[in-house]
Amino acid sequence: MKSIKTHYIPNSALLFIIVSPFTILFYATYVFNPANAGNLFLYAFQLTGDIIAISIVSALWLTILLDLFQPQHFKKDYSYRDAWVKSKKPTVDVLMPVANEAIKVVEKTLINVIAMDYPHKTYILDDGHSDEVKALAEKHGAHYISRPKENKRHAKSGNLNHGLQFCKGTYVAVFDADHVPKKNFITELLPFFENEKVGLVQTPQHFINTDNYIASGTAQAQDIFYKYVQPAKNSYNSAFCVGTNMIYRRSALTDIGGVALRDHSEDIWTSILLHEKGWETIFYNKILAEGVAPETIGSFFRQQNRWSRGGFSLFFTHNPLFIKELTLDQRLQYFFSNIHYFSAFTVLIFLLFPIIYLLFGLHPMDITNSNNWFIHYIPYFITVYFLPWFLLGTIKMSTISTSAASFAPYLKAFVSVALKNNYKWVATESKSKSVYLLMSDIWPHVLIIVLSILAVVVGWYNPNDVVTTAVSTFWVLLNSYVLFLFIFHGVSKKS
Amino acid sequence: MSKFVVTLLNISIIALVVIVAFGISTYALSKKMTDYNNATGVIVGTIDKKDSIIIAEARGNVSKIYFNEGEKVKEGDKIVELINPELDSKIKVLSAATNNLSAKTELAVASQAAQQLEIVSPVSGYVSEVNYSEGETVNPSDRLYTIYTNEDTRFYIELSDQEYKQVMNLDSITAYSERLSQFVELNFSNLSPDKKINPDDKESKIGVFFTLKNKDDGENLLHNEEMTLLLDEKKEFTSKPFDVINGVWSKILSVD
Repeated sequence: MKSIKTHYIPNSALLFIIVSPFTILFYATYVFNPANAGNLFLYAFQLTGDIIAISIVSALWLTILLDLFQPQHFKKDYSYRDAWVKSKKPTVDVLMPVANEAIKVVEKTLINVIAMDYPHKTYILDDGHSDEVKALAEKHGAHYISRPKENKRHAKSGNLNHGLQFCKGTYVAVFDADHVPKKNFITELLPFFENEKVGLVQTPQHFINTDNYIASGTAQAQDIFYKYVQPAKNSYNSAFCVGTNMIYRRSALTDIGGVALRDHSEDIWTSILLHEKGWETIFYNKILAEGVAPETIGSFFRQQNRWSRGGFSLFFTHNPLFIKELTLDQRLQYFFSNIHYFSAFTVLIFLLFPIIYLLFGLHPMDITNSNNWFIHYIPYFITVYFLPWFLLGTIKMSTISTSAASFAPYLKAFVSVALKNNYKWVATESKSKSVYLLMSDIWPHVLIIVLSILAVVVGWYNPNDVVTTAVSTFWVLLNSYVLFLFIFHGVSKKS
Repeated sequence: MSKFVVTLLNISIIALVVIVAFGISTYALSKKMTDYNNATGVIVGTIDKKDSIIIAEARGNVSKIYFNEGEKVKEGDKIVELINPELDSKIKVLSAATNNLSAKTELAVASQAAQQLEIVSPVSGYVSEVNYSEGETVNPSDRLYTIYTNEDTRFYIELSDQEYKQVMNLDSITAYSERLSQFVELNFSNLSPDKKINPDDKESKIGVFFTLKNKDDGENLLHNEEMTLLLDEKKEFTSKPFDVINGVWSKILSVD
C-alpha cells in the first residue's frame, strides 16, 4: 500500500482555515451594506470585485476544508502493487508533442524520455515539420511522426490524436517538450492502473527555473494548486489533466474518442469527458518530472492567456456546474477551478480605485468616517493578500507581481471568448522568430504606472481628506512598484 | 517586420500611453481647480433657537402687557399683569375677618393666587409671539407668550461632502450676519455629523449643528435668521499644498 497523498497541511494553513471566515464575514457586513456606499457607480464595481474575490477565496477555503475532513475518501480501497505490473507487463507509449520549441530543449527532454527505466516506445509528434527534430529522433531512436501541413487542425490535441493512430500500447504517457521526466516516472505511476476504472494518473508540473523572476512567481502560484487544490480534487475524483506529465489508459481515450479536439485547453476538456463517462482520475502528488516555466513577458502572457481562455470558454460554453453526468462534487470542483480567472476583474478594479480617488476624489465607500472602513478592511486584506504565505509558508514578491500583472492576459482571453475569436496556437516557448511587439502586451501596465505617478501629483494638490489621500498614495505607489518589478524583470530578461 | 519597425512601434505605443495618461490627469487637475475656484466660499445656514412658552397659571383679565413682539426680555422681568376682581374682593372680605382660622387659611390661598397674576419671564431672550392684548380674559394653561431664549442658540447648516471636509480643515469657523454686520465665531457641537439628508439624492448633504463660541453673540440673533458661513481660509488652502503637509506634521507633533 502506498499513500496517494504525500503532503501535510502546515499550521499556518489551518490558521487560514480558521480565521478567514471571520475576517471575510466581518468585511462583508461592511461592504455589502448599501448604507456605507459612497459613489454609487464605483460602489457597483466594488461589489463586483469583492464578490469575485470572496467567491474565489471561499472556494479555495472550502476545497481545503473538505479535504481536511475526508481526505481521499473515495479511494479508500486503492491498492498500489508493483506485483501487478510485473506479472501483467503492460505496454506503454510515450508521446512528445513538439511545436517549434528550441532544439536543445527538445533534445534534453527526448534523452530523458528515452532513458526512463520501464520499457516503452517513444514518439515525437512534430507540428513544426523541422528537419532538425527529425534528425534528432533518428539519432536517439525515437519514432518521428509529423502531420501533413494541410491537415493541421486543433493544435496540440489534433497532433496527439494523429499520433495515437500510430501507437498501439495499453498506456499512453505525454510530455511537453519542456518537461523532463525522471527515470522512474512510468514505474511509479503504472501500478495505479490495476484498478480498471482509472483512466488517468497525473503528476504535478514542477518548475526548476526559479532563479528567474517571472518563472519563480508562476512556480509559487502553481504550488498552491499542486499542494492543496489538486490533492483535494483527487479526494473527490475530480483531479484533472494538466496537459503534460501524465499517463492515460488507452482504452479510456478510445472510449471518449481520443483527446478532446480543442484549439487550447484540451487537457481539462479531456478530463471532463473522462469523468462524464465514469472514468476515475488520480493525482499522484510526487514530483516525477521537471519543467521550465515561462521566463519572458511574452511567453508568460501566452501561457496565461491560453489557460484563461480554457477557463472562460468552459465557463460560458460547457459550464461544469450543469453537466449532468458529473457528480455534484466534481461539478463544484470544476466550477471552482473555472472561476479563478475572473479574478482579473477584481485586480483591475482595485488597481484603478486609488487612482480614481486621487484624480477625481471619488470613493466607492462612504469614507466620512474613515476608521470604520479600515477596521473592516485590514483583517480581510491580510487574509487575502498574504494567502500564499498562509498556505506555503513563504510569499515571494514575484508571486504578487506576476499574479497582479496577469489580469491583462486574462481579460484579453475574456474579451476574445466573448467575441468568439478563433485561437491561434503558439507554443509557450516557441522559438519561431516572428518579432514580438512587447508593448502590445504590457501597455495596460505601463498606463497604470504612468497614471499612478500623475495621480499622486493631482491628489496632493490641496487634498480634501489628508488621511484617505495618504492611504491612496500608498496603494498607488505599492501597486505601481509591483507592476514595475514585473515589467523590469521581464524586459531585462528579454535582452 | 524588421527590428527597427518593432522598436518604433513600441516607442509610439509608450508615447500614446503617456499622452493618454497626461490627458486624463490634466483633465482631473483642471476639474479640481475649477471646482475649487467656482466654490462660492460662503454657505448660508440658519440660526436655531429654543422657544420657551409662557402659560397663564390663574384666571384673570389682562391688565398690562409689558413687552411687544420682537422686544428683548431679561430673566426676572415682569411681562404680564392680570387682574381678577372676584379674587380682590374676596381678599378684602377675608382680611377683615382675621380671627377665623379657616378664613386665615383661605386668605393665604387667595393671596397666593393673586401673586400668580403677576407673570415674570423665566428666561432671557426675545418675544416672538404675544397671544393676548390688554382687557382680554385668560384661563389657566392658556399660552400667553412665546419667547426665544438666548440659551442654546445654535447654527444649522447643510454641507456637501466637499464643503464638510473643507470646514473640518478650518482652524476657526466664523459666520457673518448681514443684518447685524457682525461676525460670529462657532464651535462644532459634536464632531460626527448628522445623518445625510436624502441619501437617495445624488448630491446628498450633511446636516451639521454649530454652537456659538461666545454666548453673548446669541442675544442679537433671531430664530430662523440666515447667516453665511465663511470659508475664508480658502486662499491659504489653495495655493500651498505643502502647508497641508506641514499642518499634518504640526498636528502630529503638536507644535503649537
